[in-house]
Amino acid sequence: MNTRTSILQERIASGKPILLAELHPPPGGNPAPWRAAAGRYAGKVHAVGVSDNRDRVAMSALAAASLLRAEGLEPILHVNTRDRNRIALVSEALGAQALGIDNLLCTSGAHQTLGSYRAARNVYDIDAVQLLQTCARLATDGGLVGESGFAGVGPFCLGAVASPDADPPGLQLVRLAKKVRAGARFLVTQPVYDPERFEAWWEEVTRRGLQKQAAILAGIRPIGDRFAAPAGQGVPPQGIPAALADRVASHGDPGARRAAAVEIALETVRRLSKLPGIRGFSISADGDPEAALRIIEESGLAGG
Amino acid sequence: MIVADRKKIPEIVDMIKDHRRVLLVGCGTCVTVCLAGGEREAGILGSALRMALRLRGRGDVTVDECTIERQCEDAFIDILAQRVSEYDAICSLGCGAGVQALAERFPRMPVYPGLDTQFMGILESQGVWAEKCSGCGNCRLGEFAGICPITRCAKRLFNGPCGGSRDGKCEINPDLGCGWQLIHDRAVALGILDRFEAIVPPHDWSTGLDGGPRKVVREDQCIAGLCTRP
Repeated sequence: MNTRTSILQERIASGKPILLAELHPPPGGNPAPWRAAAGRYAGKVHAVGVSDNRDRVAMSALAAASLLRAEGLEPILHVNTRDRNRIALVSEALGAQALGIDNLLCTSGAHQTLGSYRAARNVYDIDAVQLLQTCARLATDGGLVGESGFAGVGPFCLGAVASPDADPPGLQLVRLAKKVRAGARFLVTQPVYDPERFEAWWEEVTRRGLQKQAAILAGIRPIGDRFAAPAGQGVPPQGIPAALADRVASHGDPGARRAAAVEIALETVRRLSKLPGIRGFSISADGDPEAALRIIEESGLAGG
Repeated sequence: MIVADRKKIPEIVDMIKDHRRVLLVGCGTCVTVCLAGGEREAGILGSALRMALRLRGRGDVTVDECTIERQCEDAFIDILAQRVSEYDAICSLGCGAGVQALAERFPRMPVYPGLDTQFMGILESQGVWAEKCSGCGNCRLGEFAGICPITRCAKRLFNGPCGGSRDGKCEINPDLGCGWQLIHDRAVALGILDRFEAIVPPHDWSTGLDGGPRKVVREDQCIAGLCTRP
């Protein structure tokens, strides 16, 4: 059994602020661009989340996380329950351990009809809560897949997703509490564009004391051109308020649009940093990796 | 009931156009109720097919209609036996079970589906039917305030709503109610919301289609020696 403690786990235990980046493996089989893209985050973040075929098919997250680890970065392997049944999920977790990847973020994944692969069949054999529980017990209890337990399995540092904007709020918190009880040690929220709603959610989170049981990080995603509908042209996607999208889209110059996106993200970071108990941020490179790097550098949270 | 939808005319024409005499068979049960394959729909489809075949230069194909009470039971299918011998193909307006029951009963006769069978559901409002049951063989409705998370949550989640639930709707379709919002609302009405704090363990899917095609055998209803009919 491995007796490693993941760098992320140590950071969580330290009580210090945590900064993560979230990257999407490339839609191709060439490792070079992925290594180069990931290498730019070295020394700037505590760990890098590696998304799992989120809205298009990409290099397998496990392979991408392994490549990233070989570059000296600390990967967080995202594992969705959309594409794999319990057999493949357990096997994936064992494979991750064998490759030295102990940080798993368990998610149900975005529904496949929202991605570019809408004719695909989904799996949804177990859900994210059940996956967390399965991974937390894997060394001693493999009953889910007809085994007593698995040799060579050390502790995982398990994470999950939180959804401050989603409904119904009461049951969302119940589900979040289940994730923590099932073994999640860190929670990353979906991208925050409405700090006011986040603050209301945070009150409920702290009332339940969830921030004491798991490190909760706010997701930050710059409003890249992909997410900003040009002013007056319909509703921007992904829950981005029209006013924020307009602030970005109103600039003709791409550089000015990026600067606006970075500024909005930094405003959110500064505002949420004041919330007692919040442990840090996860900066998504989705849509605009350059903007993500600038947010990391200008937030003052990098490398600490 | 089983809810179905009629296939488009060109698709049906493509299936039947190389036959000489085609019998359209409606069904008097579920698909009559959902206005897809009853006597009335069989009549309308028959006229439409005759017209479409004429336009494609196949006016020589004969299309006749008839409707039986239930396509999924031999006792009712038997009524057709004599008539079927006058045709060289059947187009069934039954559900998928009806199509296959006709195919089993008439082994030498091509049987084509005239409907796309959709789901088990109910009439929601005039002209709108909604899916309610997946026939999983292990009913959990008692645990979920009478709303099925397997059928009515797009991700079949057992432990609460995903991040795609907004204002009561599911992110995959603004016309689709979030199954977990519905569970929530009924649980509140029933005063049982606190039951949802416990982690629900993984579901056993082997009682459903994942366990292979299923059969229900009721020994008490079987005629001695006939229980294991293939």
